[in-house]
Amino acid sequence: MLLEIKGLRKTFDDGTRALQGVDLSVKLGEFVVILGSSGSGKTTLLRSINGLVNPEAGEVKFFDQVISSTTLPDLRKKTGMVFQDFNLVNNLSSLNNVLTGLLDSSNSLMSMLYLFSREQKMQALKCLEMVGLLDKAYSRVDKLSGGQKQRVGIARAIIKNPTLLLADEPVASLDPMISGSIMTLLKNIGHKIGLTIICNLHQVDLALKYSDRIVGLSGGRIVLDAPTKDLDEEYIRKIYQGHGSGLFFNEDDI
Amino acid sequence: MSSSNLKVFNSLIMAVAPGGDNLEGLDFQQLASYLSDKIGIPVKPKYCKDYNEAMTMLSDGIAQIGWLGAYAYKKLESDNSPVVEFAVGVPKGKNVPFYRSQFIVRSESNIQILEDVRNKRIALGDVYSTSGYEVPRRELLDVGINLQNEGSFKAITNVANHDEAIRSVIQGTADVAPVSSINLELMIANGTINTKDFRIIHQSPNIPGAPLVYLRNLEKNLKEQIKSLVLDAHNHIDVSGYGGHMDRYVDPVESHREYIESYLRPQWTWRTIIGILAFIMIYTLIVIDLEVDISQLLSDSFLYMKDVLGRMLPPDFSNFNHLMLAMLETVEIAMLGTLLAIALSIPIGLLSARNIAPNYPIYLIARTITVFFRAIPEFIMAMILVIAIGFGAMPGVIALGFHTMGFLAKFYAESIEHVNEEPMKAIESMGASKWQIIAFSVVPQVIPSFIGNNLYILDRNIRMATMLGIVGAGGIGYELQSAFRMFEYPRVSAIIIIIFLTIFVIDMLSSYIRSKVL
Ligand SMILES: Nc1ncnc2c1ncn2[C@@H]1O[C@H](COP(=O)(O)OP(=O)(O)OP(=O)(O)O)[C@@H](O)[C@H]1O
Ligand SMILES: [Mg+2]
Repeated sequence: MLLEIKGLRKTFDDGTRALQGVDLSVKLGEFVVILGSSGSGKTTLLRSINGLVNPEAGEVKFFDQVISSTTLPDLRKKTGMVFQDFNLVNNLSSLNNVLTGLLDSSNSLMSMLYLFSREQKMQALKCLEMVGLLDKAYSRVDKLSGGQKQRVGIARAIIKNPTLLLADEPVASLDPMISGSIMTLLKNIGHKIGLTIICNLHQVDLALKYSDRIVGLSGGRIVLDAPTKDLDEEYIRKIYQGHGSGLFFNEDDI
Repeated sequence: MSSSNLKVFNSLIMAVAPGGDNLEGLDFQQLASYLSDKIGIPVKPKYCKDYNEAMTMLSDGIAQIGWLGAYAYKKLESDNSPVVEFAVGVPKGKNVPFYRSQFIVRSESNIQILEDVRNKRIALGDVYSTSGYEVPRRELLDVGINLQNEGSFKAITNVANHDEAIRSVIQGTADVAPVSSINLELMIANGTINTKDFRIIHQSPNIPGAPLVYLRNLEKNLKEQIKSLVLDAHNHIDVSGYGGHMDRYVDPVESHREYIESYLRPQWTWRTIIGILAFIMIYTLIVIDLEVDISQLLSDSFLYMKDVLGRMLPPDFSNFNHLMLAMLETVEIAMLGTLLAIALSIPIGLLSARNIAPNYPIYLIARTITVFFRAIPEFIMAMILVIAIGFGAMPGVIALGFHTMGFLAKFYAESIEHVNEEPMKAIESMGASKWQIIAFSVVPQVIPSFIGNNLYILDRNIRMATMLGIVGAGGIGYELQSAFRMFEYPRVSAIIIIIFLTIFVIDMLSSYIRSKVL
């Protein structure tokens, strides 16, 4: 097992119980979608994995190692993250944004001067090629379209050859057509470099189309966990009935 | 493992995608007969009429070898590819296996830049063509033209290959066509077209060379044999391929590395480096011109400093209450001056922001006012005011107010000019008036920098107000100056300490306010 989460609980300072006992195991190479409406705890779950959120109970095991403050740096080296709002540095070129993914392994003095080795730059260019943006390597990212920005975000997340990619609603700020192409890209890259992907989504159609497995979250609890091939819209709709709304079943709902 | 591994071929078919329509530009004859000789099975090139035919022949296994465009290969690759690339040709005299897509127009055409292509007649290649369709599609999208939308153009002519596209532009049946640089160079070289007849208005970045491919499920030995024969062929025969004569065929891994390398650029451009060098040089010259001797400065002034400090210490706080009152007066002068500056600079700042000023003359007048008051030091202003209205706090307040108004108005104008205009447009589109737009989209955006700037100016004005006392404009500066005049250095140091502590407290306060409001 690549990742084993047991009994994860998180209550925020204001009393919001975002996670109320979550168990989840992820195999190497899986593309898992965490499906849930707004406020169901997807972000909190994902951020608990790489320690951006500190759960008060439960444990996260990565390669059979319990994640603690001492093992966290190792996990972070092996995970990449893709964000809903891209979180790119706007004034920098796509290439420099991708290179920021290598900062933890760079000579700090040289990188302060934006100097990177030839291999590092080749690696960044290869990642940009993989996401189809080689010709935009030297464009400032604020000049790129939303879909292109997310591609840069993905290139930045994969440059250090992670084992695990965490994607928090990577297509929520994009239109349906571009969303499809970004999801395809994630899936293809996952296949190509043998990446395990955990991706938060609130659109059922995208989850059904691209994932290997769907984990449904509602009110901080897992309400569904099954291989995608065994699932359909009707079934998911039934499960979510009574669990509140906000799930998008197809593009007409949006 | 599968039966195809053991399959014995009577002949090998090589499916060739449509790169051009004359054999000279797309010639696999020699390579095929060389392979036939060496492996003992006839290899027959089959020139396909479109990319789809070539791709289908390969995926159906009718052809075992093929030549595909880079994009067509990628397309096949993403659908669980039946083929693998094994060689990429390097055209003679080029040394690199890449090429570009170039947009050509007739010389007399009025099309100058890519944007002008809209509503013109365009000749387009096969949708699987890399430099005749896919790369141009991306390039056009960058300038907001959607190639897939027929309404973007006056007419679309579909052409079978690059040569036909080039001819259609030269002959005038199309106004513009994206074509492969390889075909274009070839047609120039053999005299089919004249460089005077057309212009290149735009070219794409490098495109990876089009690969030779074979079926993935061919027998391993056969694949290895074909690959090593092709990579070595240039040592034995004149190799040719797409673009006519080839220097050699290289391993796709090598060509891919070179392709990526062609995108390497230095992190710092020459312009930046020259800029930095010029900066260093100018400052070196200044230091030399001012005869700054750093080592002497360090050794001598250390002694002087010791002397001066010896006379100043310990500080003399004997009339502490009096000094504190003077300090308070200074702070009051600064606060009042800052308020005056804020009050004056709000209207003037708005009027000197290009995107808010009602018209150019008003903008210019407002700008002139801000520059004028910034140009006159408050020191001079205060001296004149002391002569005009006499000693006391007022000259200081007015001098500070007007001088820093010049700064604040400039700061405000700059942050107003940098606001995100999109929310402005949104509010405008809903019918809001100019002042409502300012109130609801400009003000909220500039509030943080407004507060930050005001706090900075207050801080600065307190420091300046201590100095203004020297010219008789009230406050602790007057005390400082008289202490100096009387050579009462311990008092001087006491005053400096008071000033320092005051400014320290103000600084803490303002950063507290900043953290709460910003
Ligand atoms: N820092 C925080 N402080 C307090 N409550 C929080 C905090 N972060 C999240 N929450 C609350 O925790 C719950 C789960 O939030 P979370 O962001 O994980 O949901 P989500 O499924 O990612 O939602 P969305 O689809 O809107 O991103 C919500 O009720 C949210 O309001
Ligand atoms: Mg979220």
